[in-house]
Parts: sequence; C-alpha cells; structure tokens
Amino acid sequence: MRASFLTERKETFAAGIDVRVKLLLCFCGSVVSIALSSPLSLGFLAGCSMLLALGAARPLTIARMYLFAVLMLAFALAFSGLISLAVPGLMHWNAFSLSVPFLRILISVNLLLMLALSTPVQTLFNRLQSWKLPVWVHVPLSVAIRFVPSFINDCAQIRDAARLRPGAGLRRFWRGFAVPLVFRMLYSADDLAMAAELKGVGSAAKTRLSQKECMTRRDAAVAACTALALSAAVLMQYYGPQFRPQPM
Amino acid sequence: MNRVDTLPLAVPGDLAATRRGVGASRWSTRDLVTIGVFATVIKASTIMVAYMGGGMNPVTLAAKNCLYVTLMIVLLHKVPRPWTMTLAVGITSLVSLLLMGQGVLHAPGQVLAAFLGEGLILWLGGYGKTRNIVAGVLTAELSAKAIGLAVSWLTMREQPAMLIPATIFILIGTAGTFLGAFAGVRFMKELRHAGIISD
Repeated sequence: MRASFLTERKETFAAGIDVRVKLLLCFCGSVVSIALSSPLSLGFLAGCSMLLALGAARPLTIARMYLFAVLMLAFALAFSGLISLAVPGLMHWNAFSLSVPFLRILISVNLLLMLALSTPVQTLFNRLQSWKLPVWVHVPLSVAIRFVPSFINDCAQIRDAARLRPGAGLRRFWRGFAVPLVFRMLYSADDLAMAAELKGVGSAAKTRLSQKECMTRRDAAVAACTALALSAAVLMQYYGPQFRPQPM
Repeated sequence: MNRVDTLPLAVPGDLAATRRGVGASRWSTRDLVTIGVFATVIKASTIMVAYMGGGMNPVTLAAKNCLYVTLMIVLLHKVPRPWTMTLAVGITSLVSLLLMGQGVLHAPGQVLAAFLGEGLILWLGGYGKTRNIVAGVLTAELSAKAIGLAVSWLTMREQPAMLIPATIFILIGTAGTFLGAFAGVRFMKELRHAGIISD
C-alpha cells in the first residue's frame, strides 16, 4: 500500500470536511447527476465537483484522471463511430451524443477522488461503524471506497512494468498485465486485511470515537453550497436553454 | 498437538475470535477486506469497459461480462464460503448507489441471482472444487441476465419489438460470460502455480 496516500490528504480543504458531509455529497451528487440530463446542468455540477476534488488532491493527480477520462471518451467515440458505420440502423454517430454520460462519469470521478483522497480509512470506518451497520457491510464498504486510489496506482505500476517486458499481443497482455494485476490485488487485499486486523477491526471490542465529532462551520458552509449548487443545476435543467437529446 | 498449533496463520483479532468459539461461523476481517477489494475492482473495471464501448457495443459488453465472471471466480477461490458472492454483489450495488447513483433497479435481481448461484454451489458439494464454483458463477450471471430481461419485458411489453435488440445483445454478452469462465480457470492455474491460492 503506498504511503504517499497517507500524506496526500494532510492539510487539504477536503480533509477538514466531516466524513458524514462527504458521504452525503457523494450520494446527492450521484443521484442528481443520474436524474438530470441537460449538458448545462451537468457541466455546472462537474465544475463544482472539480473544485471539491481540487480541494483534496494535487492538480496533477486531477489532470491525470481527466486525461484518462478523455482517452476513454475518445475510445467510446471511435467505437460508436465504427458501430454506426457497420449497422447504420442501430446507431447514428454524433460527436456530442456521449457528452452527457461523460459529464456524469466526471462528476462521479470528482466526488470519488474527493472522498477517497481526503478521508483516512480509519475515520470512514469509525463513522460507518457508529451508524450501527453490521460488520459485514461496513468493512467491505469502507475498503471499497478507500481501495480505488491504490488500485489506480497498482494499474500504473504494472503497466510500466509490462512495457519493459518483451513480446507483443495477447500473450504479453496476459503475462505482463492481467496476471500480475490480479496477483497485486490479492497482495493488496492481504496487506489491508493485516493492517485492519492489527488495528482490531472485526474484533469483539467496539472502536470508540476518540472525541465526539461535531459539525464545524466549514461543514455547514459546504453543505449549504452543495444545496445551492444542486438547486441551481435543477433550475438550469428546467428553466435554462433546452437541449434536444442527441441520437445514439 | 496443541489447538493453537493447528490454526493457520492468525493475527490477534482472528485468534481472539477463534478462542471465543465464533471464528468458524463469523466473517473474518481478511475475508471481508478481500470481498471489498474485489467488489471495487469489479465495479471500476466493468464501468470503464462499458463506458469505453460507447453504448451498445457487443465487444465491450462481452469483455465486461468476461471480466466480471473471471474476477468472481478468483474471489470465490480466495474466500470459499457461503454468502461471499451475494455479499460481493450487494457491496458492488451499494458502491454504485453511493458513488454513481445507479444500481437501485438492478440490485435486487442481481442479489437474487447470486443467491441462486450460491445455492447451486452448495447443492453440488461446496466451494472445494473449481467446477462447482464455475457452475455457480455461470448460473448467477445467466440468472441475472434472465431476470433483467424479464424486468425489461414487464416495462416494455407493449412494444415487444424493442426487446429483440436487447435480447441479441444479451446473447452476445453471454459469450463473454463463458469466455470469463475459461479465463477464470486459467487464472486459478496461475494463482495455484504461484502458491497464492492453495488447492
């Protein structure tokens, strides 16, 4: 497990936000982004969520994620172009047809980065535990949220190692990327499990919060700004310029 | 032999649980963490592949199913106990709901399908054999598709013609499911060869 993830979240704006507010932000952002369909509203929310992500991670990290998202978009456009050429009745290629799914993914990625990079796993775990969730729900759930940055880092490391290997094609992909990635996942899971067990996670003794955590002014301000941003996005959807749904 | 000597490598939490006599029936932290890790990877990788496909793309649909089945087979070998698949599917749905706002409609069907798959594995003799696990995962995946198609028929039964392309795509995706079973068995050979998962 990379130690730099422990240092990355220190002294950032998002690290000072209560984990309850962050979870609420993620849930509301994801539900609203699915409910809305206007590119203007989604673009506005993507901008707001980008500000939150910038408050949790370095701009270079965000830029890399965006580059990856744009690469995925390019692949998607290329594939849809090929399908529209092969089966014209099924899909009409349009450069803007994927803008709405792209913005939805961007909002999710921003909020996920904000949550994962700014929240110590112990804090997240303690909070989920304090909500009286069963151990078989809160342990995998907190690991699932926290493992995303580690997994991205593992992918990058194995990709770099795969480049050094000779050979090409499917065999190189299998031997150089797929198998090492699964090995690495299993080792990461063991590392995480060992760390969790040594901290007493899953034992009979309940972990108590060190102090009663109250909402701060920052939490209230973030929650208020979120409510305002979501309302503005909904208003833009219904009263702003109307966009026709792009055919797929 | 001393009872403690017969235990596998155990850290204090596990040892304490075993001494209380509840270790065998309760989830260990190791199992839960492994399920969490696999649930994340399954969700992240399938979403990436699906998005890269640009919508109704048969190749990426098959690749997505292939990835899902492969990872699920590896997970069930790593955590060979009842409810692993159901819990992994449930956590994946929760992550989807929390971070991507979706999965509310599909989750019940997928959990039910996982339940059927687990039932088949237990009926075949448990998690000790690869063929039982492969059969269970294939049953769960095919049941999930059948349930999804049935829900689609319920909502679109007035326009049955719309179901034809969906059925064709599901059939293409099924090819990926079988390919995933093959890849999962290959992975298990690699993992056993590396000594990561024991026979």
